[in-house]
Amino acid sequence: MLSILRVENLCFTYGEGTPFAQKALDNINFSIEAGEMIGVIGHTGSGKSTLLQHLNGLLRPQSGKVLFNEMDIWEKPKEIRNIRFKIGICFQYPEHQLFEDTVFKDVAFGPTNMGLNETEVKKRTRIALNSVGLGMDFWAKSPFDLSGGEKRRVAIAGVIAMDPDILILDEPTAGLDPRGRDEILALLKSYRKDHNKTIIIASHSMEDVANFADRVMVFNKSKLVMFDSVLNVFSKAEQLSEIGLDIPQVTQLFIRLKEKGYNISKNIFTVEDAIKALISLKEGGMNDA
Amino acid sequence: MENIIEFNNVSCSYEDVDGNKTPAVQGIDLRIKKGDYIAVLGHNGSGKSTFAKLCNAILLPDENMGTVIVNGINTVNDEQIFEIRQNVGMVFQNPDNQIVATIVEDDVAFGPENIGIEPSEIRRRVDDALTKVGMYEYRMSEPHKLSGGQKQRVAIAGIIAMQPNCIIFDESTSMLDPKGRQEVLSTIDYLNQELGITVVLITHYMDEAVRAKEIVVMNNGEVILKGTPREIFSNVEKLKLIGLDVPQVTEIAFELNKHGFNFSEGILTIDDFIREFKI
Amino acid sequence: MLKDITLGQYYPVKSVIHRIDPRVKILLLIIYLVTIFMADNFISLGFIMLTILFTVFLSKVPFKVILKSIKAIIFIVIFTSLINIFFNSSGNVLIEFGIIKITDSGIATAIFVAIRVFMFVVISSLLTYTTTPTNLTDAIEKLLSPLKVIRVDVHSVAMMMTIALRFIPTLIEEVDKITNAQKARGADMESGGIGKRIKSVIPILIPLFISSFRSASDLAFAMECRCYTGGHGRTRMRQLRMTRTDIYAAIFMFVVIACMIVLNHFASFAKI
Repeated sequence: MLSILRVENLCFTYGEGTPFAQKALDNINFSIEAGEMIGVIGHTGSGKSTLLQHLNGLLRPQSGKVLFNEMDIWEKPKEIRNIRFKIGICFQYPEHQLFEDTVFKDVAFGPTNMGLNETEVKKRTRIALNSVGLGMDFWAKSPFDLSGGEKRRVAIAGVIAMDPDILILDEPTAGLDPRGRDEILALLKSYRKDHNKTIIIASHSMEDVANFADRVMVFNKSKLVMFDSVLNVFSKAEQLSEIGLDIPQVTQLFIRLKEKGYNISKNIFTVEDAIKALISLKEGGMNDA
Repeated sequence: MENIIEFNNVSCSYEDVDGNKTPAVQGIDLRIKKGDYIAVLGHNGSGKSTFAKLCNAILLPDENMGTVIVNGINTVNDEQIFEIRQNVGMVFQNPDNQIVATIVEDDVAFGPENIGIEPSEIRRRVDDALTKVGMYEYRMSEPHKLSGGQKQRVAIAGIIAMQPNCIIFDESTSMLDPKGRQEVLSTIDYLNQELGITVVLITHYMDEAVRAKEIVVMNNGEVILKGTPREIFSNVEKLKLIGLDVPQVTEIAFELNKHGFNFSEGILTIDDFIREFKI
Repeated sequence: MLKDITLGQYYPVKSVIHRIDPRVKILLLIIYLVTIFMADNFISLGFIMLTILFTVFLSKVPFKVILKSIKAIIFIVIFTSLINIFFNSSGNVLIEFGIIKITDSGIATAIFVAIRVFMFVVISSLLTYTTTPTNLTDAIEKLLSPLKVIRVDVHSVAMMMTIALRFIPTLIEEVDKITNAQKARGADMESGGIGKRIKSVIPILIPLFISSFRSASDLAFAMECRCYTGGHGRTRMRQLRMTRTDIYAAIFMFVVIACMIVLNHFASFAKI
């Protein structure tokens, strides 16, 4: 299968040639297939946000390539804007992008920039707003009067409205309370189910990553140190905690239980799976007895 | 023990542009004792920020709707407002928007300068405060070159330099990454355990609330639960209903009890769980 | 990275010039600028140039760094020099075509003015290279304090300068993030006519304004919580204190002015 997004030997250094030079990306290689849901984890300064900015051409690689559908996105530098419509990024703080006086107009900003006609812009805006769960009663509101979680949904709708092939989100749940966080994660899951798009999410939260991702990239000190299934990445708990990343509490619990000699899998990442596993362990145990 | 902050049946409402009053908190009755470590847990809009602002007289209770007493002073007492604010310091959410000066040590000096402390005494307090939060070696740095966690620690030092009895943290970790959060939380623990400063930690993260000695859960402007972390988190269903998290092991233990397991209430840590896990 | 922006252009080394009290430094700078203006011939000007080079040497700020600030104004200097060359018609004509006459005194004036402007920039930038922004604002507050008599709120002015300096890097970072967010939605800031370009700034300006207002109100809150009530009854941790260095600096300045007056008198033959 062809990859939808491939990165080859990507390197980037901030302030290159100055005494402040700081390496941000060191020879990054990976490839993502269409329809995958990818989690990106790593500390602040690990290189992950620099990578995201390369994926839609906000930064230009100093060496190496970013390939979208096997085409170098910088082949025609003048048309880099078209790449941004196909690979949409939504950044962490919605405050950095909301500017129109109504929610509807703000979400329409992207499709309008694409040069679509008015009917098409309106159609896409409506679909995007519905898919983030903001009904008509929100459309005429000022985006600045909304709650934190709602603002974030408007921001995500603003990117979805461009109907990108790849949707990239930087820390979509950071700073939200548990309810807001669950709402955002639920809407991303249903968006993926309905549209079968490729989604890349950078997050600090291992619990969130465990909940949605098929594969996980782990960044540390400007290098891509792991890129594997959630199962394989979380099973390297020791290596992760050396980097200073915590695995979810359930996973830690199961590792401890396994050490105690219980016959269970270490690869449990969600509360639901944990409950099922422990119940069947108990029933199995009773059957033996 | 003496109370540092006393809420006596307090209600406080805010007015929107049309002049309609909406209550933000209602009937809060609470005593915070010297040396306490209290977490106020609630989702956004639960009234927890209003609660924080009532503690140091940024907001006042509605007329005839209760009183807030800080160190024996009623917060409506206008002349003693600076005594109150010196006593009850506050660290906010956004680290960038509370640092005033262009150099770390000047910022820490800002509070003591405002209350007219002698220059040599300010110097001593600034060095002392920066050492306590582990930022002494950064005293000559420019704030914008620090990480989020470091900025918050500078903000904390700025409060310590005022020598308060109590510090309120109003979602002070919600804009930080996990590393910054950890830095700030261990600083807070240190302030309470080693320096005996009363801590009020306002948060929506349950894993932060677990560190406190006592948790107050707020919803719709009211205190709905109050107790030790263990007591609070035994109410798994109630907390989930109002949109709050419980620790993952707590939830697992709670669910397993429905299937014939016998965990006691309020399992909080992996150790608790393993101790009581029997098949 | 943007984080590397240094406030002002302070160059952190230890030198005699760094040690001078910032208040004294500002006053000496003003006197120096007047002295540069007083020089009316090449010999006086040459002498001043030597004293400036000596001061730069003392400051331990590399000359390469100082040249950077000269680069910024080089076009203005070239422009004024050209005007002097083409439109100064006194003196002996060297070249003439059409209405334009190039004279020897025109060229001399052009060179004279250019050197003067360069010296202005070098000595002024030396102040900012050797004084931290905090010390600068402190000194300005102190120097302007006589204005309190005519009810100018000097403290507030100094506080505003400090806060402005503190927030410039934060704002730059903010602009960067907003620009990225809008570019990601296809905002086009590189093409089109002036009208279109002005319009394309709106999606950046509005979030920036809103976030600045928010920062301002948050900051005001935080300052109030830290018992800020303006300059009244306030003490300062950092006390500016005059030392022997300041006396030496004043003596140096005095000698420079004296030599200047003497040179101006005896070198009148080299007058421009």
